Amino acid sequence: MQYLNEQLLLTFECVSSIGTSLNLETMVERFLRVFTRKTGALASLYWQYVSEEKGYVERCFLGKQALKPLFKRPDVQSSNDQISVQTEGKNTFLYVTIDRDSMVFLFYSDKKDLELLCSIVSSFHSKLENAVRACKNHHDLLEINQNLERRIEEEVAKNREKDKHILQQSRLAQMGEMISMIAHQWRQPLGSISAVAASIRLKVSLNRLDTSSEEAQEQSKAFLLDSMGKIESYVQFLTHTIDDFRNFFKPDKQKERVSLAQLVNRTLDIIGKALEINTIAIKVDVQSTREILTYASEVTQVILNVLKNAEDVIKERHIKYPHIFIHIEEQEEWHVLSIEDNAGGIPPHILPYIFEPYFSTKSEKNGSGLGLYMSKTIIEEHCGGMIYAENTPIGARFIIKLKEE
Amino acid sequence: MFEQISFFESAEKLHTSLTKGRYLLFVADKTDIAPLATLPDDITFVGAVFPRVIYRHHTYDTGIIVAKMSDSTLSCIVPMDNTTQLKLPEETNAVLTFFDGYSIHTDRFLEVLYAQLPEQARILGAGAGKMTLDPASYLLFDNTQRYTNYAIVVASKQSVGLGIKHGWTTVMGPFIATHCSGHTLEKINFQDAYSVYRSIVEKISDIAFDQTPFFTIAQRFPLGIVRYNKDFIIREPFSTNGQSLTLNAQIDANSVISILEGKADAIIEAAREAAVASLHVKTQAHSNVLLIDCISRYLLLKERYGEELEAITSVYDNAIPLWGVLSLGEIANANQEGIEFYNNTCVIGTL
Repeated sequence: MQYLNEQLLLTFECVSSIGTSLNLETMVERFLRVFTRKTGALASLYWQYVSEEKGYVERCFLGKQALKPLFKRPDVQSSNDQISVQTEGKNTFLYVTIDRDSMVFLFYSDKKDLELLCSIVSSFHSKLENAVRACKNHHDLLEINQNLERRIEEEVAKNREKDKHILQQSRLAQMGEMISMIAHQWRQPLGSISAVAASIRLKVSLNRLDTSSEEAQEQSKAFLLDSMGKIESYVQFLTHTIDDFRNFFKPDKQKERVSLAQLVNRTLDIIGKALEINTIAIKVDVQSTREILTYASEVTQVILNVLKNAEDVIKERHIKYPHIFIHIEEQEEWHVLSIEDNAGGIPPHILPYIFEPYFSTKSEKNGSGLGLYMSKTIIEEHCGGMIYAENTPIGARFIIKLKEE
Repeated sequence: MFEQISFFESAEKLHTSLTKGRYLLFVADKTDIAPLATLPDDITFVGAVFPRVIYRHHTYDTGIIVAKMSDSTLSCIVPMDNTTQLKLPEETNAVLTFFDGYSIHTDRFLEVLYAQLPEQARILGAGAGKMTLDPASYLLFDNTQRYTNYAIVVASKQSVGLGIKHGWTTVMGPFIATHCSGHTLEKINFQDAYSVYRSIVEKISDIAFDQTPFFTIAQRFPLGIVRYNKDFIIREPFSTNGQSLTLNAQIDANSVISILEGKADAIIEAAREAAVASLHVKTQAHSNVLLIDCISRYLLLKERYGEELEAITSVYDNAIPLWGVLSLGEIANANQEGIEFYNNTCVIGTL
């Protein structure tokens, strides 16, 4: 009876020592210590199979170091027996295979003496194996977490790089649009210059620039001065357009004090002509002219982008009597600019996604899908404001909110 | 290992008796060791203080046992929490160690020491200490200074015979030490350890806990840690706070324990068996017998302790001197397995 009790008690103590830590070496060392002490093993060693190295690595040894050379490194091809006993002279080894790892105990006992121990080990083998796997999984999980942190840092850096790239793409897209707008702006003055030049050429070819008399000379001179004046005026307009263009693309290094109305006017100076050509009526209702400290050029880009989108959709949907209504007001601490069109609104199923990068409904028109994403980035991250869109009964309304500072 | 073993009633007498050489000293608790400081420089020594020392058929609470080390015997004092400086020659067959019996590093020290032992080496030793638990008191010393948390290690090529027995028997068990912390046994079978211990001891004896000092009860009814197919290891509780029991060595959580009872005849017989066992494993002729006996056995046996010494000496030739200590914990590894820290045990080495 006492003998039976000892087996049960040994089993209890060994089982109690299993799974006491999620660190493999700590857990295994604890188990080896208990098992070695209770069974009188001379020494014990735990080999962990490392698949990357396709071999075994010593993880834990208990006992006299002098006995260590007696422990042979397990062979990867060796027996698959979970528990086995081998005798070499006076030394008897108890081998326990756990999840490809190997646990070895050295005894100065007969093989027969260890048969009962084998049965005891067998009774908690699966628990031990599960505990070892839990430790390994925990270790893997920790590694994954560490890798995840590293990967997050890498991805954040990549995203920053991507944002720069997106910004660049956005600028290029806007530049394309700007060139288109400049073309609109320049078409009329260039045509006028051409007309003036043609009228001069016509007069010359018809010999109508009469210099035969003093009076005729005066008339011709007046005609030429008038023509030159017109040409100079048109050239000034062209130059002004170029200045607007250049200022628009000059990134803000510093904030400036400016009112939303001023920003709307600057934008309309650029896009107004294009809207006019498309017969889009613009109505601006200014309820507040208070200045705010912000990145003016960047906010102008946002306004321009929203207006350009309105123009595009108005043209695409062939809206009769198209108009854009711009309203500026103050709401508590917010300076609010809303831009509303009558183009029918944004389909509800895409409304939640319009500020996401690369989201565009203008595939056939080379939409970059970056305009509103960049707008949101500028307003919310750079200027500390907010931008969102909603549908009205007749169209879409974009609301831009900025604070005093 | 030792050329000569002598007993002196006082430290002063060493001045006139010792010759040039290296010595191991066992000092009884009440001995004044101040005179050791003035020994000549060519007499070097390492020593430890024990509750009592044993020489031939007697124990002494005052006096010094002096063992002169042979030239081939190595000795050193190492910190128990760092034994890296200890280098034992490969041909070492026997190691004696005498360490601070109150140190918290005992278990770790023994494990590391065992790991450093050559394959064939056997070890025996004792925890040094005094009967009055005074943390400020020193227990180990050499010519130059006194130490706490250190251990004396003596190594020799000479092989030793070893016998280990205790004589305690199970009276109740098994129980599970469900909560332990270092040397403190907090719970037995998930209940306060002291309550369980008291209820069992009261059930099996007529002892009144309220009228008997706890250590007296614990000496008679120590705990035994059960091992598979082996004798249990005794752990003696030496104090209690009314809930937990404080032992003089570590106990692992979930250890299976029994409550033991010591009966004088069985204890004395165990000592004789230890002496017999020490002869069985001895491979060379021995010149002296080193006895490391737990002080609790002495306190339990009282006037009958002399019978234990007689039982031991009866096994050996009369001419062979018996010497040793009554210790606070005993260590040995008779079967080459890990060193165990025993209590209430009789360890005998034939040197």
